[in-house]
This record gives sequence, C-alpha cells and structure tokens, in this order.
Amino acid sequence: MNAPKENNKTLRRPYKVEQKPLWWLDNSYYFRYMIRESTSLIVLIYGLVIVVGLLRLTQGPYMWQGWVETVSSPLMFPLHLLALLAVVYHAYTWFKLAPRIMALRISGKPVSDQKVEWAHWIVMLGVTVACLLVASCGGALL
Amino acid sequence: MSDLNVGRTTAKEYHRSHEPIVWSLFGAGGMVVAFLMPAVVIFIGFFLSLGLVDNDAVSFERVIGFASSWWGKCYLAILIIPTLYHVAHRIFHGLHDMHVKGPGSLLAILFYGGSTLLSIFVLYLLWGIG
Repeated sequence: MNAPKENNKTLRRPYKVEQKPLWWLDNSYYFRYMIRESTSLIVLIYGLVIVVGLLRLTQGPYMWQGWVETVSSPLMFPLHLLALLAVVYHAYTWFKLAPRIMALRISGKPVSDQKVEWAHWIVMLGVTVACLLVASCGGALL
Repeated sequence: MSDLNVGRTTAKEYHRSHEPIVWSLFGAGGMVVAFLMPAVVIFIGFFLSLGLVDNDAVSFERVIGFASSWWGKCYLAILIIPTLYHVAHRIFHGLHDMHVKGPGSLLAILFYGGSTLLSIFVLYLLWGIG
C-alpha cells in the first residue's frame, strides 16, 4: 500500500491527535475547568501572605504591626476581593464534586446529591461564622 | 489467569505510584481552602481592612498568645500546610494541561519540593513560638 516515504523503517502510521495549548478556550466546560484550576494561583499568593505574617509574628510586635498595616491597606483590597471570589468558586466546585466522592447511604437509601452538596454549604457557613466571631472577639484566628 | 505468565522469564515489575500521597494532601488542602479560607479572607480582607473590627483583635499580644497555644499551632499548621500542597498540585497539573511539562521531573520537584520546604519552614516557625 502507500507506505510513507519518510517512515521507511516501519509501516506503522499511528493516528496522533494534536492538541493546541489553548484547547480550553474552545468550550465553556473546559474554560470553567481552567478557571477552577487557576483559583489555586490566587490561593498560592494568599497562602504566601499568611506565611509571611507568621514570620513577622516571630520577629516581634513592630514587624507584626507592619504586616497588619500592609495587609489591611487599600492597595491590598483588590487581592482580598479576588481571593474571596477564588475561594468561594473553589468551594462551589468542591462541594459539587463531594457527592461523587462520598456516595452516602442512610439506612440503605442513597442520599441525593443535592443534600450532600447543601450539607457541605451549611457546614462551611457555620465554620465561617464561628471563625469570624472568634477572631472578632479577640480569639485571634489570624 | 496464570497461563498469561507462561513464557515469561521475569516477573512483571509494578511501580509504586506517588499519586495517592500527593492526592490525599491535595484533597486535604481542597477541604481547608473550601471550609477555612473564606473566613480568613473575609476577616483580613474585609473586617480588618474596612475597620469593622477593633485593631485590638489582632494585637501582637493576642495573636502571639494564640500562636503559642497548642490549638493555635494546630489551626495554623492545618490552615497553611495542606493548602500549600493543594496549590502546588493544581498549578503543576494546570501547567501540564497547557503543555508546559518541563525538562524531566523538574516541575514536580519544584512544586512538591517547594511546598515541602515551605511546610518545614512553617513548622519551624510554629515550633519557635512560645
């Protein structure tokens, strides 16, 4: 048959699917997947800010105060806003996947995906309110 | 199915995958980011920045007192360490998805090694407080 000339060692002609690096822009499902993955970039920056805060705390009151003033300055506000959107979007996608990971059964009956998802949201809101109350009342959760 | 092995001179070698360890750290981090991070971001970014809480709430004495207690150390370690592995795993695989694969395992060493080093640094800092 028609063996390719440049490939004279073997007749094998594998079918290769080419994928361009921007494949995730082609389809809204893939795009949302990439948005979900890129929340980690903002979380990384936020995590590093917290690590620096811990370092400043070990360096004494003056350095700690400097960190508090830096993170609460108006210049940092866009980062906080972006970080809030990122963690909430992350939580939304994480809780959507939760029912697939834990297929719960209560007395033999499967619990619906919505119930598992809502349970996660309720726990998350409870934890958030509790942490904010403790932190605001001087219990210092950072 | 033992007849499949007839004619084999050596036993098939199976390699242990690092994936279960990496994925469990990623999963733990995903939980922390979903459950604990929103409160941290709202507190620092909104309550503190907009002056909704008194600055005394984050005074050095209070925060160092919290970070000196065993529960404070546990909270801070749980907040930071799994999160570092979570983001390392996602950025590593995200780059792979965008065809940035790096020479050999350089990127894997960079991301997982980097989060391990930072985690050790965090534990060292927490160890030194109080």
